[in-house]
Amino acid sequence: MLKYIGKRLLFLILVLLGVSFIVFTLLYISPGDPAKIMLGEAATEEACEALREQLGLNDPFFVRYFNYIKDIVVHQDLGISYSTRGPVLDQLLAAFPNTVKLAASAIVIAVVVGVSLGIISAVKQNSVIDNLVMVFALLGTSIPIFWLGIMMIVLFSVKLGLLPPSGYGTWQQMIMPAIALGLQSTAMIARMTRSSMLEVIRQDYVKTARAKGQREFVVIMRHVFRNALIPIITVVGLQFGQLLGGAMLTEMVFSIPGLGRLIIDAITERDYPVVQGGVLLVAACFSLVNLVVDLLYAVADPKIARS
Amino acid sequence: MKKKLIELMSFMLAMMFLLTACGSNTQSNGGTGSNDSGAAKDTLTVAVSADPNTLDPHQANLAQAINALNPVYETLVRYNDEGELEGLLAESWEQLDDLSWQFNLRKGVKFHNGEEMTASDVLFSIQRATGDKGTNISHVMYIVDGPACEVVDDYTVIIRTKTPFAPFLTYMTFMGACVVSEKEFTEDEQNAINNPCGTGPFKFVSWTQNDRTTYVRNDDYWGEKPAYENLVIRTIVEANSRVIELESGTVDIAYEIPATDIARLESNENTKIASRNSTTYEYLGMNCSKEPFNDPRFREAIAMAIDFDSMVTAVYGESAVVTRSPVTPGMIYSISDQLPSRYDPEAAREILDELGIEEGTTFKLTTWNAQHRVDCATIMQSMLKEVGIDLQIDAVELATWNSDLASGNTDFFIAGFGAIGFPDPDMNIYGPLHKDQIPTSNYCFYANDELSTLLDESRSIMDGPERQEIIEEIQQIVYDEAPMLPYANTLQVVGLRSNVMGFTPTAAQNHFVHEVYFE
Repeated sequence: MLKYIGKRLLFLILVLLGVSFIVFTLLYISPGDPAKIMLGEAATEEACEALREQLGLNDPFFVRYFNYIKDIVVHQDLGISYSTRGPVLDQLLAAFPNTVKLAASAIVIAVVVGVSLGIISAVKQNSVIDNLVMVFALLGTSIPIFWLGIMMIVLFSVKLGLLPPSGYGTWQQMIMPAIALGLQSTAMIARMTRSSMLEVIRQDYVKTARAKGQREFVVIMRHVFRNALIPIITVVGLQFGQLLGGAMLTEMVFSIPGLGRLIIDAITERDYPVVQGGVLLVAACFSLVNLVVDLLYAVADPKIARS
Repeated sequence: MKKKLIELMSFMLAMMFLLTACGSNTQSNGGTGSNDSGAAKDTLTVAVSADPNTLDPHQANLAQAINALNPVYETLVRYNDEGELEGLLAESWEQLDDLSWQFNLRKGVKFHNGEEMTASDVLFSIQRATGDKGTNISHVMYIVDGPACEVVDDYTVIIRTKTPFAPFLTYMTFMGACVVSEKEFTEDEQNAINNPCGTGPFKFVSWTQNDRTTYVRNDDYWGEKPAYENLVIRTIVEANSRVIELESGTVDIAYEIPATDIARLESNENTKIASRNSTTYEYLGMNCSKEPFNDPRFREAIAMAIDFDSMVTAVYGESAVVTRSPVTPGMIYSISDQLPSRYDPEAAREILDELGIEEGTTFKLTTWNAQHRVDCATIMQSMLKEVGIDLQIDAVELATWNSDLASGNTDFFIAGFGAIGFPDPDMNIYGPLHKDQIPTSNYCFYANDELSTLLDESRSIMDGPERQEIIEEIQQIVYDEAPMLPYANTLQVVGLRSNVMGFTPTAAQNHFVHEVYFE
């Protein structure tokens, strides 16, 4: 098992190297001059040139890429932000915990609500509840986060005065962003749980379990749900990975200084070092979450662990 | 049958949910949500639209950074609420010769570290701002000849310009010309940048990136001390969220209110609006380096084909006024109000026929994809269609737009320009119209020798009738030759809680809040 994890971690380094090269190239060929953006529309050509020189933007592509990788490997330095002139790592470390907090609370809501709804829906297939859950799932995937967020703020903050309209410090402040962000995942997980459960529920061993006279709850949780887990874990993993990549819209609406906003702002300002650092962090998170998902497969299904 | 009934019910439920949610949106119009308490407030919370990109005043070229530094740093001179220059850290000043200005400093002014401000701090600040550390603000500070400036005594300093420069004092109101503590910057520069230490009414406390900057009242301030103790400037990027926070009372002042929310905030008894003409303008530019844009008659036809007045009303509502000159209404020497609308589509078509421009000729219009600019582009597209010109709108993100304009990869384009809060016309006309500014900011690639000479002259002659005449002539040439068609002068629209008094917006996107008090 340890050997497997080690191999996967080595593979992660290759992934990050590939990602860094792709991001670096894309930024390099994308139009826009960081100097011009930083200095504004009224800047003189001399000022822009001086800044380009200072930032090393006049160096050839491979020199810049090589220097970038060298700094990361040798000095663990992701570079200096063009716009704030502060270390990129500090900016990422300041934004990332907020994103993790937001993503974690969203995924907890999504898993608890989504899995419960999915199970109920599968057990009561074609009933009113099942239909309601499926309508909810449809709405969940189709309502834009942006709109839902603003509607919730208008209702719960402006109208009812129950919750703070923005921020990220207290648990009260996390309720609305987590729900807004988690709704889509909730819907996805509910649908996946339902279909996965329905597939298993018709298996012979479930009938056998029932025939043995086991309680329905035990049948559903131990025999059906457990065996339906693999696709659910996959979806949860993918969703969590995505959420960790930063939820730009939610962060904008609720004024949360997270990773998504940091990266989008950096792209607009052509702040290359921050974009590169941010994307690397997101890629690393995604890969790690995938690794955890693969390990969880083994927990859910001992057959996988043996193979 | 039963299944269908259930499906129908589910659908109706879904629709009800959607309608209820929409309903809560409409009801919020004019809604109240006051969190105000009766106790005396000692914290002012201001919502701004973007996070500062730096706290180094000599790198601060964007409104968001200047907003964050305004409470802490002060300049030698400043514009007051009436738009007149007054001394701030300088008690008086006089021009010694064409290049030299002597400033007599206020005595007994202390930095937040307790040190007294002297002429040596001023000299240090000016030299840092005009040196390598000031690349981001060189578009303003390049006029000052740093090495030639000198200290006369502890409270007297002479600042020299490289060439005779009429709007010099105006430029000295810019954040980049503020006075920093020499001691702080020479002892530990990075610390001085991260923890601004100025002479202003507030002491800096902290900056949480993408969230807020916080300040506490400077009880040793040389001037009138603020009426409240704590100042919090929060970054709330989303305009809707800024408005909602203002309505719910969690912020006291919100900058950059969208046009669509102005009426609602005015009618809400808990909120009010303060606005002021900015000094910037939006214009339709034409790339005069290529045909047919190099023909003034073609440009005139375009000016006649578009009803700019209706367009500005439709897109900006109450958040902008029409300007036909790059020197915006409200600036000295503006003749915008005297310039008539040229809207006459039939005459435009006649000129185009004379020039042999066939109906259905297609041109590109490059614009940054900000909503108000795309809206203007769409309206211009339909108006130009009336005279037989097809516009293909190229709405791109900011960086691409910047690069397209500078490289001349344009036919028509929409751009904005203007002094960041300087009421002097120079900033508005020199960059986008002087031939030497191609392609840095003269994106029209418009090289007119006569105009460039006038622009140079307008800089070297001190304010007075002669300078007025030159600047008026410049505006007339721009109107007649039409390399650019200015159309909108945006307003700075600020939303306030009703109990916030003593706030006057500046012409820039950054404002001063130290005189605010609560009723």
